[in-house]
Amino acid sequence: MMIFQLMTEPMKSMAEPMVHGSWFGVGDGTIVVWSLVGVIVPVGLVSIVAFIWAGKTGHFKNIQEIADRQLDIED
Amino acid sequence: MTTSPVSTSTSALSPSDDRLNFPQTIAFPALERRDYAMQTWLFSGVFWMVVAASIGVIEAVKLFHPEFLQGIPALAYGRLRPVHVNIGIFGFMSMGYLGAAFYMVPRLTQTALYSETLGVLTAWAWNLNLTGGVLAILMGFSKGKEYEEMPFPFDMMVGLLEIAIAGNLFSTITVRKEPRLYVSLWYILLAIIPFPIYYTLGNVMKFRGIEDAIVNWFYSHNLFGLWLTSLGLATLYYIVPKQLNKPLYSHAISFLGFWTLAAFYPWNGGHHVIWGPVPMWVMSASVTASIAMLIPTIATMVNFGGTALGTQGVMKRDISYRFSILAYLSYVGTSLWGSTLAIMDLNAKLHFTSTTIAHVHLGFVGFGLAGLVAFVYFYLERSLKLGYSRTLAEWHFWLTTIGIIGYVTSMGWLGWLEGSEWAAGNSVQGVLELRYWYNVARAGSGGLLLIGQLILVWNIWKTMTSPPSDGAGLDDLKSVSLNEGVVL
Ligand code: HEM
Ligand code: HEM
Repeated sequence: MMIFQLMTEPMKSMAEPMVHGSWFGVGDGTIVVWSLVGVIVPVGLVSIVAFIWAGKTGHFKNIQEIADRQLDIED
Repeated sequence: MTTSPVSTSTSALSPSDDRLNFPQTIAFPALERRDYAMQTWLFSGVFWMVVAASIGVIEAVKLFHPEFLQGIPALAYGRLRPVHVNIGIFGFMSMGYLGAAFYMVPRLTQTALYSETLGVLTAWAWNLNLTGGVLAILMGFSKGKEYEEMPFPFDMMVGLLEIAIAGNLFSTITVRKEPRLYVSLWYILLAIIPFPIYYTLGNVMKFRGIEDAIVNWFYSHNLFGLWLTSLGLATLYYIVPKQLNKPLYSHAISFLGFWTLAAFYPWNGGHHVIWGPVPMWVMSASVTASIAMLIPTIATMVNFGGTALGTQGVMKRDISYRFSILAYLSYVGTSLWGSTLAIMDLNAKLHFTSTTIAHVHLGFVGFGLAGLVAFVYFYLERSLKLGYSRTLAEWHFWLTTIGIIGYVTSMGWLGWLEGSEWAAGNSVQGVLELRYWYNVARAGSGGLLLIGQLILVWNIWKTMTSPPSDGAGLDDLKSVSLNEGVVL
């Protein structure tokens, strides 16, 4: 009986109807922000620090050099 | 140029000089020939490419004429389609581009391959395993989930073999003589290192329900993005500057493109289940990452665009380069299109339509096939110093180009119409009639594509088997114009 009811009665949702915002058309803006804040901000910060460090310690020096030399490799 | 030329002696690449001792003790002398492994991978890839396209054409005919080959269980649409997809991905794309990787790694590192024997053996094991997996699907033993249809043990064997392949390439890079890593090597590393992780996750049958769908797409998208796309881009980064005899426009921009691709692609999986019953954060994270993919796409576009600027002359003469350009344009097109497809409103309209199929084939055929073919011609003329038939190659190019355009426009336009009809309330059955001629057009374009690839195989066969004699073939060699300078 219970099962029959479940199958036939329309679902009564308790949730408030949600209004979708428009962050690239992605649902509610807050959700976009919160799901990503925890990842993108720390990863972004670490990357920025890493890039500054790499730049200062000369890792980007002559970055084009290997691209020039690639042409000399014999096939 | 700020160059101190690398040692270009071929002896650096021949499999005898100083390597770790272990592979030498297990090496079979017959297999330890220079480039033997890469040839086995590359030509296996070309073989599977033709098989995948042939099955594609059969499927395409069945979609407008279902009576075609009806009544044979192994050739039912539901079995042929996963066979087409698995052969396309694991046969044609994986094997062909691994061939290119086995070619590039020794050259860019100036170091002989860690083990040619292992390379050849893994290639044959991969071929055998794929044949087994495909036969199993044809007999009805499918795991029933997209991109992971091959049943146990064939599925796990792919993962194990990849570890052996990755070990071989990675070891070569580790003991390299050239200290600097050219961008192609970054992409090869990105392809070979994480593969066993997502591949195993995707293929174990441990997850249930929604979780399973999310993991399934995490795996599948990494398979397209980190495995196939990385190997494809590595190849284009290697051959395009050489075809033009002009260095890459900017190694720094490729750095930006590489790291943003590596950072955002693994988040893209969720865009396959937009509006599905998955948590909202999975959708939103994946949509954001898909839009963020514009950064690597545009970086790649600018980099190759800058390199290719003003090279129309080479394009006219060098068919291999023309295929590279076709692959480049298709790659950029597929990726810009992909970022758009991920926009939620548009996805609601287009997800279940043939638009996805058009996107897939622009990626796999426009980018994947054209890129590999560019490498095949490059290899024949630059490395083997063989002159292939220019006439056949022209036919091949135009049939392939028309085939791709025909496939992508017929399916792309059909997808838009389907989406519009469904949005207007029409039923699935209601659009079947509409689909008919578009499906015929797709099969026709696929047929042209297939004929083009058969011409390629014929051309390779003729080129590699005709006896080299002094002078003979020289005209051909000239006509494909070795080592052309840049024409501005
Ligand atoms: C002659 C060329 C080809 C033809 C005629 C062809 C045809 C087809 C057809 C009819 C389908 C089913 C589409 C649908 O459900 O409407 C399909 C799907 C697919 N094909 Fe091809 N194909 C060709 C080449 C390739 C190649 C070379 C690859 C390489 C990887 C490939 C990869 C795929 C994939 C991954 C799918 C599944 C797409 C999805 O589920 O979204 N195809 N193809
Ligand atoms: C920036 C790059 C890309 C983005 C953002 C992207 C986005 C997407 C999206 C949103 C879908 C799902 C469509 C749907 O089902 O509603 C999709 C499907 C697909 N894409 Fe891409 N794409 C990109 C590049 C590529 C490339 C380069 C390839 C191939 C080499 C590729 C292969 C595929 C395949 C095979 C599917 C179909 C999966 C299936 O439903 O079976 N994508 N892509």
